[in-house]
Amino acid sequence: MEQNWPKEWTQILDQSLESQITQQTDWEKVKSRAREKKRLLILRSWLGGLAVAAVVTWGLVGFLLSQNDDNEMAFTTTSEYYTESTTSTYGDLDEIFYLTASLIAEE
Amino acid sequence: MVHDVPDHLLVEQWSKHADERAWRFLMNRYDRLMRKILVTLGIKNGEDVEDLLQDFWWEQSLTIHRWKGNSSLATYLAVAIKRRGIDLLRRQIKKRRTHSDHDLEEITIPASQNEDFNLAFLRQALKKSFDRLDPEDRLLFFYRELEGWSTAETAKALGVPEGTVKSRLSRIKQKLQAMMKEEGWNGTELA
Repeated sequence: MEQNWPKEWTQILDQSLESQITQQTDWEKVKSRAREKKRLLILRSWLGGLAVAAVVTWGLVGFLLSQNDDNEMAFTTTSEYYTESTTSTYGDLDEIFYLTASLIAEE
Repeated sequence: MVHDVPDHLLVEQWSKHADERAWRFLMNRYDRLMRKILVTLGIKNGEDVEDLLQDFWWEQSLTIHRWKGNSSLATYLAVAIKRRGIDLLRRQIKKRRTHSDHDLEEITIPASQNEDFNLAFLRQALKKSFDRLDPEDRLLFFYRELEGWSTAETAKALGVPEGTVKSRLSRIKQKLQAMMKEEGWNGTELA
């Protein structure tokens, strides 16, 4: 079969392939593309780091707020109790008069 | 002259002394071969070829010191570019499955104005038949017939035994001749 293979076919295929090769790689372009890729990689890792930091901060703040909520709940309850008890008995001004009068009386 | 400097010295000059001139020369020496391999594999899109080659040469510039000279540098690079080319082809095939087949249209080789009709037809038929071959077969034919590599080098580049190269080459030629008949070419000689 090798003997039947026409040599000009090989030449034609070779020419056809050669005609498709029109460019040559430029080393400067290779370097700048690599630099660009590196830059993107660094940027991406920075963004990734920022995202992780944001998630951690968000979690931490959420946790602290939930802790604070418990304290506030207790405080609100006390102040509500105080406010309710003072206003219902004397009111703010009444209380001041009452306290002043008791001080004068003591003197 | 730098043109006569053997590959291993250029590689050494680059990897040990970071001599960019040596690397540029080495790259220019093999860039055309790498392009031909990609086109032979069936990567027709110029942009894809450019992107792939730029990444390829950058990767090689960092790893070329691994070449120990067991095979020629051409074979070493041919193995590496083939791997990348096949990966890209697989990705392209996946893409084509999801998109329309417009990109698959055959590239026709324009015949020059004075070209004999017979020759133009032969060129067209050969191109079509060659493109119908399996990429691995195209590559084998390219190394042996178009680049004139030895059976041993071709076997190394393709990772197959030498006997396989010989038998496959013979089968490829038979296949091509059969395809040429299907394309309507009856003679083996130009009129």
